[in-house]
Amino acid sequence: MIDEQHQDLAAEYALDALDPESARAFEAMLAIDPELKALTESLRETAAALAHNAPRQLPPPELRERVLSRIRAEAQAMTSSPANPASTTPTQPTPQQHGGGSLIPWAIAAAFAISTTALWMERSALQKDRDALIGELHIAQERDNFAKVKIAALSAQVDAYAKATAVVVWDPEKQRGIIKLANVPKAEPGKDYQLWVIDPKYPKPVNGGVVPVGADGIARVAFHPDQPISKADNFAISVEQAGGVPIGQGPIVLLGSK
Amino acid sequence: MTSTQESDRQLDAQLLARIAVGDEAAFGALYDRFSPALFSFVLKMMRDEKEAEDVLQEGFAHIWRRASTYDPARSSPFTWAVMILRNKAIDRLRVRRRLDRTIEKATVEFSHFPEVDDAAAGEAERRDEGARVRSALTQIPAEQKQAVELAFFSGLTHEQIAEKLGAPLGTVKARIRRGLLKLREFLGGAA
Repeated sequence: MIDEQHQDLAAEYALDALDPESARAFEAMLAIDPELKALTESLRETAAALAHNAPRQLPPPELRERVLSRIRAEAQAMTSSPANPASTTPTQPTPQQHGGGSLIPWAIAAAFAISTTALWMERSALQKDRDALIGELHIAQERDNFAKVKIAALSAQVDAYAKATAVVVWDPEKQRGIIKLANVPKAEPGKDYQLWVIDPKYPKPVNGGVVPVGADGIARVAFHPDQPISKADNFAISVEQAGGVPIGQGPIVLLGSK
Repeated sequence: MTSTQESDRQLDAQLLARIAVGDEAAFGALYDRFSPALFSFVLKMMRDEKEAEDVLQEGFAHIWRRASTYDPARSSPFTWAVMILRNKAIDRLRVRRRLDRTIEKATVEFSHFPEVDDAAAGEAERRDEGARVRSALTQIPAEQKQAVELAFFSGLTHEQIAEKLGAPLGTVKARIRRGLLKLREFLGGAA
């Protein structure tokens, strides 16, 4: 019988909710307790079954090709690396090495097998190192991307918007952003708020899309500008015709400070 | 476990064994078998299609690289894949939360932004497995269901869940444990 404390630990482990140190300690317990191990594994299967409880949506068809291209590129990188297993492929013995009763060919073969095994082990270690480095690189990139993210607060350009607050978060790497608005007056009938990205590369502000504001004066919208942005110098919100316009014409009501 | 589930599991394990030796066709087959359920699941976690696509791509690249580490004695291939993608999604959610916290700091009075409504994600057709899981979820107490779903989908730590629900940590842990144990009982085959 497994007590509740260990059941709790099993549930947390199954959900990857234990910190690394506790997880290692729990794994040591699992190694010597088959009943606890069976419970933990069954809870993990149960938790994973929850993945089925999501509204069904198919991935875009082109994603399959993107994934396959990525793994092909990785496979190619592996085969062209110095640790390529092809370099350790044993050659066939020559005819004169067969027979003759000499132990030398066997000694060579044994030495070769040992060196091949050593190379294979070295390759495995290199692969592990490489995977760890890739993992670290991803984390570093994530941090770096986070550091590159631009955050801009927009301020009112007309009195009616004095109480409004607006923040834009822009990720230049992914070319997308999020805008949050609060205390924004309801747009007049036939009008919409529209976001603009000011990039010195373009003579006119780039369309960031319509920002629908709820009756509570709040909006939270993810946006992808119409054009690739080299440098998001500033952001602005204007009032435009309902549905948005390709080139801003209406009054700018909120603007970021440069 | 039903015989269909058992044969699915064996087939998936065979595909993973082939992927481990670099069989691209096997990888394509596994992608076709898993990606609909995994994409739906990741989308539920991320609530953003672009990010869900990125997570799916990263997750499958991980499966390609690490197929040799799959241990059939420890979990089914689907469970193994789900946990890989869940961890990738949680990593991103944590970065996103740091970003959100920064936004909150940058504003004076930003609060009560409406949550995205799950129902808005659509009601497309679901597989039998989905119906079975939903049926099981209806049979456990609401507070246990809430705690289990938060623990699985949100990427929040149990401490954060306790804070969000305004309940003591011990209570939350107990709800998660009881909820999972009951689900296991109702799902039968998954356990």
